[in-house]
Amino acid sequence: MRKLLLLLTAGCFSAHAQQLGPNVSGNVESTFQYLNADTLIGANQPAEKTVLK
Amino acid sequence: MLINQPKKRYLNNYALINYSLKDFRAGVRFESYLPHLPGYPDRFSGTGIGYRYAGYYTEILDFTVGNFYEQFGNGMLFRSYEQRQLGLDNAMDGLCLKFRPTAGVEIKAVYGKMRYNFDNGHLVNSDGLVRGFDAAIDFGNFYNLLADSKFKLVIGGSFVSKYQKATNPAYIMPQNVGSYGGRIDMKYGKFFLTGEHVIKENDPSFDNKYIFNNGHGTFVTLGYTQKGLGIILYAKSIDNMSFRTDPNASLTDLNINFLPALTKSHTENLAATLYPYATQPVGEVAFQGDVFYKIAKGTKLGGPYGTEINVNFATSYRPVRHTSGINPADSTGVTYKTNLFDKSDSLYYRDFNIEIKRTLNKKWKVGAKYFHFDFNNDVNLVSKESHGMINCNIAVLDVQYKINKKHSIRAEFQGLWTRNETVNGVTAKQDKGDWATVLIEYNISPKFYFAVMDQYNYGNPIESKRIHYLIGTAGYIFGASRISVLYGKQREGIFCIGGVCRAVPATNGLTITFTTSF
Repeated sequence: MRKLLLLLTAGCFSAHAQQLGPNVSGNVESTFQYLNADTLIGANQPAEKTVLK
Repeated sequence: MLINQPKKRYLNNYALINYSLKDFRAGVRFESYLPHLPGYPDRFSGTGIGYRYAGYYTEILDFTVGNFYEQFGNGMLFRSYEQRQLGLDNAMDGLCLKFRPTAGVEIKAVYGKMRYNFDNGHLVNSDGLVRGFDAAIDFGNFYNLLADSKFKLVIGGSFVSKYQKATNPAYIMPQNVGSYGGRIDMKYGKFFLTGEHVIKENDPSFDNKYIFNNGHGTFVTLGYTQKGLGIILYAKSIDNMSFRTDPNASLTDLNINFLPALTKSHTENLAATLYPYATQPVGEVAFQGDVFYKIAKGTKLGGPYGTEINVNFATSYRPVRHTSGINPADSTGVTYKTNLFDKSDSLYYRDFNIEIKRTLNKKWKVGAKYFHFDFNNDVNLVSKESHGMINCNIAVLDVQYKINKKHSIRAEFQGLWTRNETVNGVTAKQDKGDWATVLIEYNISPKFYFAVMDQYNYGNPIESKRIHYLIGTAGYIFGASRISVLYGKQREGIFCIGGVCRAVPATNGLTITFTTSF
């Protein structure tokens, strides 16, 4: 019985500690596009300067 | 050697990390625009922290310093929010307090500047300052006054002001602009009625062509719901309610408030993308009715699983502006008067749609939809190839087949037909003419999905513009993460969420998106 009470008490403290302990949450979103110029639909990509060896 | 070549690669990244310990919370959001996706504000560039906050949160008091999002009532006076798909983020940067002295009472106060830019990795706020106060009492919880009653009542009121040293050589610009309003939310049994009325003091701006009229907005919702039936009626009357921290701002920049759109948000490709309606902050009188009905299962019409019917009607008009007895050139700067719900016969938008959905058996589900739009392209410009009203009909057939427990296939067949119009003796289809879309989706639950969609402008009056916009998508879901790959063509157009829109350029290429939460 004593063991059972000890286990229950430890469980309660553990749950309490989890609730009060630090918590990290969040989210990540990443969108990558690789686009081609398409004159038919008017998809014009702006020109950029690139070094060509 | 330097050469000019098309810029092809774009990357937007967002990572939000929240930390909490007991009643303390803090967080940061890192953002990258390397460079930003096409269609986003051109000012966004670089990598850095775009959102950061710290606060203390208890049942009685919330206290946030730094960035925060908040809304008063419907948002007609104040709404700070992020809509990433639109590139819209007007996060406040300052202080937000929420005080709940007793059950059923909440008092909010906000003070700060609004996010305007993300320049080379640095957050840039507006010059203007926003200050707001809101209080609401829920009589269901307030000393249990209505705890045992079928009648529920919430009342609230807000005050918001902005301050900016605005200079304009042609006008004496007010530096402080105040706005205020009240709202009520009532329920009795199966009925509910909500209403909000707001007033904004004179606020000459780019949007209203620098007039000194006061603005006003009213939003009313009346509804009845019971099992299998829902009826909701909406009415909105707004005039001169564009409200920005900077009077010279435009597009989606620095909006202090949000004016809800009175139209159904369509999800079907042609109905959602060809003629989407944007709220008119300068003024509109709008109405909407929405009826949901489920024919009971086991009946002849309802079938073995019941049949769902949704009928929706939305319309919007220009308000009447009375100019009699008003000299627009006098020193007041007031150019007209308007009354609540005083609509003219100048139609901005009309949308009638009906949807019927039915589960035939354990394998098959079908849905049929019909839409009719009358769209004023002069007010809500979505097409450079058309003027005045565009009238169109859309039909959609949606069929879903469950192959087994894990595999299912769905197909959507859509057609859009514009009206014939005679101009200078020549009869032709309005705008870009007729369209068809076919969508086929294959799902392997719960991890994979594949889809192919072709949007085809087969009825364009110009033969060379009868283009297929073909897109293929695949996605993989694992835990709280998802990766999707899309390849294909996207038409130039206007993309709207909740009546707020941005221009989307035409694109052709690959898009890879990764999202996760933890």
